[in-house]
Amino acid sequence: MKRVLVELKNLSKKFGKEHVIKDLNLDIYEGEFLTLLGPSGCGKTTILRMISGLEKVTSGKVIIDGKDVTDIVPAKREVNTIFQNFALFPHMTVWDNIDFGLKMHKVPRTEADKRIKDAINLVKLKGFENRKPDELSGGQQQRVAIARGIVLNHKVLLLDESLASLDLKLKREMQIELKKIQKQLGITFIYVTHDQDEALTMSDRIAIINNGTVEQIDTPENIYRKPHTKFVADFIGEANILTGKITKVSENEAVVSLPDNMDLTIDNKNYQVGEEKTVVIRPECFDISSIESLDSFKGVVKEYIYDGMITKLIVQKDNTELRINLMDASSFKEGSDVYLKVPKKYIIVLGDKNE
Amino acid sequence: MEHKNKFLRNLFIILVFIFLYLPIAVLVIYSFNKAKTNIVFTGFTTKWYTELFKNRDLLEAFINTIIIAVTSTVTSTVIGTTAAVGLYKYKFLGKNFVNKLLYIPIIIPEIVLGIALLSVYTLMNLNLGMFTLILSHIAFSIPFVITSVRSTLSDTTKKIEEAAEDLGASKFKVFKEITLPLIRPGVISGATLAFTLSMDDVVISYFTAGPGSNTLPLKIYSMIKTGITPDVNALTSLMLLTVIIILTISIIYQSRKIRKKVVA
Ligand SMILES: Nc1ncnc2c1ncn2[C@@H]1O[C@H](COP(=O)(O)OP(=O)(O)O)[C@@H](O)[C@H]1O
Ligand SMILES: [Mg+2]
Repeated sequence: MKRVLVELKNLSKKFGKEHVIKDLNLDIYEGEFLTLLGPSGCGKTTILRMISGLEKVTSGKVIIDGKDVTDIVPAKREVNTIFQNFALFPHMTVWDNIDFGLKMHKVPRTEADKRIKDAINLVKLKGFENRKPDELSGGQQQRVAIARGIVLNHKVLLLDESLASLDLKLKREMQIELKKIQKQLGITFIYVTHDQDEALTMSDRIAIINNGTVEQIDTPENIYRKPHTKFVADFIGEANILTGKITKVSENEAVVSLPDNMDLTIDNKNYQVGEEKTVVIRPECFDISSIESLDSFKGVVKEYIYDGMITKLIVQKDNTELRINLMDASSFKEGSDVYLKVPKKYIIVLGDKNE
Repeated sequence: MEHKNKFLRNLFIILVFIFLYLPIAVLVIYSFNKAKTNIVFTGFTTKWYTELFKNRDLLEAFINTIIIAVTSTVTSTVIGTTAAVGLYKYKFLGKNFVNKLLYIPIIIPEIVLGIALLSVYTLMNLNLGMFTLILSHIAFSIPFVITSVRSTLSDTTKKIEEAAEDLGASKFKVFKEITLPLIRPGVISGATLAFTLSMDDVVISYFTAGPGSNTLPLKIYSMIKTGITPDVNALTSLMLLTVIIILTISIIYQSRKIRKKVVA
């Protein structure tokens, strides 16, 4: 099926006593857009630098295209990086910046010129060939960095927070363009970001990194809909995370009793009465009504926040605050009573296997 | 109000310039004075300059000064640049301490450095002369070169070098194609500084010179013991001219790059 192009095997990195990457395993497929997503300081840049060779591994292996490159210098690895602040060569023109890698690899002149021209067309920098980096805008510098990274035709491109320094509008444009370039060239992107929206819109798969390990790796949809851990649920999107006990089981269904008398019916997946379970409910997954119905529980609207496309409610249920997002919340006001239900297909139970 | 401020500001700048450059102007003007004293200007002459060139002692001191300045500049620039790059590139125990230590030769009184160097030479049984002079000038120039080169090295430099490595450059290529061009302004200003410092050094040279290794500043120093004569004025005017030429070359070299950028 899909071919593994980059393989990280039991990768560890220590800076002095600080254990930054802990026994990390990761397979990256040929042609995919994989995002490493995680909070600042979790080790994303370090992972990327170990793939490019700019950082030595403490233990473990880096395998690229079937070849163990763990002890090979960056210059000899067939990957290129687009750095956070572009790291363009300030004393060289756009053309020379893009040409640098080709010169280092001794690509014949006619071939090199053709490739530079193609790259310049691809990133839409025609007419800027003779400018120096400091005569370009942030977006244009970004494009030079991309051109410089792809011109060597390596199969893997590493991108470290490459869009973080751009303003929001430009960022959105570049996200779409990067994705397009990646599809067009069919190369593998390993993209580092701490921006979840960016990760969700651009990636084929997302690896959630926490504390130097992979917390979960999955498609954006599965990461959002089927988080495996509290950390993933909390880090991606908004979530109500509640912990309770299984109080009733029948053949197909079970009841999980959460604090403050919230009983939720869920599918029974071999649960035992008394088992502790953590459930995740996304804010858009509630059924909300001003009329009581079977199995609903009562809460009070504590805050009403209009946010354009959606309205955010914070509903107080005894001591628990629930976050609820609605498209139309006009029938609810601050202080009014509401009755809540959660359809069982929207209840995520953490710790379920094979989901 | 605005107007008045502007006027005061301009006046202030003019006064500062007069204060700085009037003495120099006087010196140059009196080097063309017919009279033997520096009091009244009695007429224009270039005879002090022609006399200078007949003075074998002076000529020899001049040649010594140039030899010392050139050799010490080249040597201290090479050593200082290498040291600055090494200090920035490699981590080692006590790096911070070494970094601080570098400022000491810059801030300690020259007289202390002069005596210190002299004691070392005596201890090592070195005969004072051209060799010890060059050695001393190299010694006091190196920290200036290091500081100047180091100011052009930063975290950004490191990232740019890594980008080059990532694109397939060997360590040597990174240094030649990336590091060297990036630090060039620091190297040039370091070398300029070393040259001018060497050209006019009196104190350290006084301690470390020997018989037959007189330098121009030392010669001038001994000449003015008998009062400032027009030939001293002429000589210092020539030194001034040399320094101006060096500075101009250095400035032209650096602004040529800027102009090239603007044109492009
Ligand atoms: N060269 C280094 N020396 C010491 N500690 C480092 C170095 N590089 C990174 N670290 C530490 O490793 C951890 C992970 O850093 P990094 O990989 O940059 O995180 P991220 O990119 O996810 O923000 C941080 O705690 C950081 O302080
Ligand atoms: Mg980072």
